[in-house]
Amino acid sequence: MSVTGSSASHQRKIHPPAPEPSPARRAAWVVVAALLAVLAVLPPFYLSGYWVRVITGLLMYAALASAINIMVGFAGYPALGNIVFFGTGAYTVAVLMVKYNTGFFVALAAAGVLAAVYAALLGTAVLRLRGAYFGIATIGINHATSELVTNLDRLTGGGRGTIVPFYPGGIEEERMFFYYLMLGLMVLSVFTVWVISRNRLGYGLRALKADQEGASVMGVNTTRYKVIAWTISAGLTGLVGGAYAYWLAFLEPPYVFDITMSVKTYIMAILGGAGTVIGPVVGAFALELLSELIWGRFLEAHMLVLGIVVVLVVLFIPQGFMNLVGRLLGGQRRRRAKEVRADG
Amino acid sequence: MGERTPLLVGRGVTRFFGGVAAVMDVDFEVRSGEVLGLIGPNGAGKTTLMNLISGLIPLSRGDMLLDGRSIKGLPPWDIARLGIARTFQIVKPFAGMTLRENVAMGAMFAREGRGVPAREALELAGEVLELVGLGDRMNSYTDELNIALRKRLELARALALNPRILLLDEVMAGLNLKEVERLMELVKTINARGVTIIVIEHVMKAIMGISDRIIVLHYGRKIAEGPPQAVAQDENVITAYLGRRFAQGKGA
Repeated sequence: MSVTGSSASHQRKIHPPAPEPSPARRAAWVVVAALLAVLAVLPPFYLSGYWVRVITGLLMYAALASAINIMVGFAGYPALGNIVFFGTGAYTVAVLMVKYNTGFFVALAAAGVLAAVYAALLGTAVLRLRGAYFGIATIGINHATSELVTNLDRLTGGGRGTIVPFYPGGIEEERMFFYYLMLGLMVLSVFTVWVISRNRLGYGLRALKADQEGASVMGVNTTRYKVIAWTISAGLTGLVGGAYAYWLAFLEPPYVFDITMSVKTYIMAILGGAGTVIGPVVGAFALELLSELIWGRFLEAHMLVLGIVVVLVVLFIPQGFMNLVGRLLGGQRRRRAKEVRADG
Repeated sequence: MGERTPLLVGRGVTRFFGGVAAVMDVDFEVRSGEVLGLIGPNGAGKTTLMNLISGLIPLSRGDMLLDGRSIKGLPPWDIARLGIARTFQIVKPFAGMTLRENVAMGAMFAREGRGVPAREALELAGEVLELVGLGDRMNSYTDELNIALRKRLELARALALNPRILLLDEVMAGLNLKEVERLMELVKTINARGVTIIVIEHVMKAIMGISDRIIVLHYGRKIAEGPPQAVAQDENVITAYLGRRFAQGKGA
């Protein structure tokens, strides 16, 4: 009766199994991961305060780039105004800590939840728009939310800004706290994307990115998947925003509803490889370190130099670094496969 | 031709685009296990009817029943999960995914939403790709395929949903004669496995060869229905679509 029913499962062994990493490859990954983990944990112990702060910012951007990647890279929705959830998270932490004397971690959790709920509510309406129209709508939402926060000045301090309670501890300790906090959020973001990429949600999103009608007749509830993707992306962004508020200790709407920050994370995701798991992290590190370097040398023209670099990268490796690496490795693999076939 | 139970029934199926009736008051029945051909000139409403069945556009009027239950107003993903799969005339491969991943989508989101996990789906996809003759290109990307192979991929993807009804919208258009014959065999094989098929085709040899029954649409209305030979002799069908020469060739 069925074409691919359970009866087919007897013969499954005959067919080539789904690609699975070889033990050697897996071992290599474990070693690389362990090295990276050590490398990630160490900096506060041997780097200067300045560099620890730079890297903390870098980790923050990597987390944000990973979060926006869920929309840009997987679902194919240019969520240019995604920073609205960063601002929402930041102000959630500020308001809860200042007005309600909430502890930081409770406030942080609330920031993630509130940002996610905000996206879920907006998503059902706004995700009907496609392409640039969606992107423009998110920019509008960011502006509107920023204005709202500015005008709710009793609650948020409005345009005068608001002071968030300081971290209770010494400078050293504080530096470490925020470093590991951002590291943790980055790991959470990357891990979330990794999980998505390997299950139904990831496949559904990639399919609807390629063709929405095609995905829908394949059984993908495109409306729900898009909303789920945005909700997750917003939740992660809100968490990072909440952490940022505590780190910065002083908030003004323009700081945290800053569209250029959104654009930057967008560029990072594309630079590293949209739709890949670690691409956005690579992109964030590359762009931030580069910008740090340029900032040092060209104080006046650093935005200009950065802009030129971005244009060049997008022109010559539009698919991002990870794709470039993948292509090089893939070429090797294909060549190896050919050799094997020639031997046989 | 036997008392096969109707699996899919359309009653007064109508769809307006503005003031134009693309499909008007079409009644049809699809019996379990049959191959139903859908023919008619360009703009007759064949693809619109298929879009209505798969839920991509809503009915303006009328009703559609699967197993006696109305599927009117259901979104396309629900209809897919109820077991109605389709291909598109203009193929819609998922770019950026390998063939295996493309096809695995079907098993992941299959019937009743009881899809299997991604990993298992990827293995099942291999089997379907073997069936349609793409077994050796599982890890290729869709942009590496020519049009004939893309049509096969489109078919494989729909099959991976493990459908009860398969809607084929011009899977043979743009293929050469040999490819058409191969695809006809494949469609017959699929049908022999118990899948009910509705097929739109302009390649007359193909549609006459594989259909148990044919419905002819013209300006959105059904003008004829019956076994292939009877339809080919029908005066209305000859005037509207087939033309004299075809009918004489067939009649001889």
